[in-house]
Amino acid sequence: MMIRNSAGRKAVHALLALLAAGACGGCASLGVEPWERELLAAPGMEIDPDPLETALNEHIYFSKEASTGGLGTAGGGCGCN
Amino acid sequence: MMKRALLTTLLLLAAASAPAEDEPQWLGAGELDLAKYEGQVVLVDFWASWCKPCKESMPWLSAMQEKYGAQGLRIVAVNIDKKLDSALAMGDLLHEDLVLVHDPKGKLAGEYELQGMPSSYLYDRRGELAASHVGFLAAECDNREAELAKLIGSAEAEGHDDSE
Repeated sequence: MMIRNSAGRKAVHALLALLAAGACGGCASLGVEPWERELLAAPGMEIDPDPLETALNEHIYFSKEASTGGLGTAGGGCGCN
Repeated sequence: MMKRALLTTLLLLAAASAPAEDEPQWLGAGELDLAKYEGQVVLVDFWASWCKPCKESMPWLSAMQEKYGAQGLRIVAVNIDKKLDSALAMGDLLHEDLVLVHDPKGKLAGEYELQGMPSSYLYDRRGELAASHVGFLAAECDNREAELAKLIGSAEAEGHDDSE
């Protein structure tokens, strides 16, 4: 559908300009300042917050699913690895 | 009789709510005025309880305050924890002569435009910025102390100069 009306065209241009300006400035204030990192520094925010639990989970996965590949040698799913 | 009991209760309440003499005093972010410490070497250090290197730096800062305080070093420790309780939990690490400031909204941190945690700013006796550091490494303690001592003008600094 063509917009023939010049006022309508102007409105579309204004809208596009507004969207472009928003897109340019939208990322201007991304990120947290160094003094605002309290939550990010919390132990629960670590990639591996509980290494012991991760090790246990991996051992169970390895024991149960090794025959499907992906985690080393084959096993029978007996949990004895 | 009734009046006496009321007065006693009020006195007891007042005594209970008054800060103990040995309790550290915390300044608000707007209350810090570095001009007060003119003529002294001032180290402004930003720290938080959630920042591991900050925790590692506190004993060193306290040791520096203890060692050079009498010669004119004044360390201003600005805590940026949202809650003061988190900072108070680290009270054992804080030297009694440190100037303690609580900046929960990051007002001072924003003014200094911190690039990382911990950050410190060292001012000479004229109040001019002499050095600034981001982060804390135990391996740098000697250099940092030499820098402090040089500004303070202690005999130790002269010793460092001789050895160079």
